[in-house]
Amino acid sequence: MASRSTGGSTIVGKEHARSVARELQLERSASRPVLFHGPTMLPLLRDGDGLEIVPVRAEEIQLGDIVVYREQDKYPTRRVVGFNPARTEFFIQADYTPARLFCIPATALLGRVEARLRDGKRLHRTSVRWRWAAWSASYRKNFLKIFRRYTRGR
Amino acid sequence: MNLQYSIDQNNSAWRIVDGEAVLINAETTFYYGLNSTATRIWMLLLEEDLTGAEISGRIAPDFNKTSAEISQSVDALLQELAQEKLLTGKELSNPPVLAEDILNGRPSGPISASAWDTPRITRYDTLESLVVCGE
Repeated sequence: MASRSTGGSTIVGKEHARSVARELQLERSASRPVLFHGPTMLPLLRDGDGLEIVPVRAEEIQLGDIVVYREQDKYPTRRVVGFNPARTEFFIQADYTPARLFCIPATALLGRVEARLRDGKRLHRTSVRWRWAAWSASYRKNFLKIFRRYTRGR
Repeated sequence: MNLQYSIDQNNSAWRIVDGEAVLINAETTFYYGLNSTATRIWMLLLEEDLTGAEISGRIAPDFNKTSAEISQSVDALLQELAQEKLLTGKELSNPPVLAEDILNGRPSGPISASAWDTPRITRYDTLESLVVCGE
């Protein structure tokens, strides 16, 4: 649909306005959840899940939180596994592929995933199930090592 | 008809970028751009609910204009924002009585006055469903 204006153009161009509007859309996700796509946050998040995302300051983010950040015109969603003392950089990884570690600047952070909506049910990040997923995602690698060592020894 | 306008907080979200507001209507998913003058009006409405006459009276002096000179374009913008469901208008049974100087504007002189740019809204496309991903 073509844009409509009562006069000339604004300083903020259409494309810039669109990217800002997308971020506003993210901020409004509590009333209109955004969709999650992809397998990389399995098993907690899967294709088609609705997410509620709340803007947060870098100081409020804790280890294990799932955050959404800006990467060009995409909005990757991954788990925080570390940060520097000044919290200017965050280390994140996907639950399903924990071998890859990403480092993102705090300025790219857009918000924290507060809840997942699936089949009409809402799972909040403070729930036991969510916390278990966060915990197991962080320690899965070590679990696997211990498990393999244990099974090899038997 | 004397309407007092207020921002529809449930329906709209906004951010100021380079002195101009970018708005979305959460219901229709249209997104918009306001020029600097229209952004000024939006900011006034963020502070309190106002009528078109009150807005004209408040901003006219900053542009070295009288309220009468700008009221038509201010009203046009307010109507358009209301049409887009970004503002809601409430009819006032007792319209506020404006002081003579507010009605006529209080030109503050050309030194501090900004150039008047007709307030306008640009409606862009609708936003498709937002998808975040783990990829």
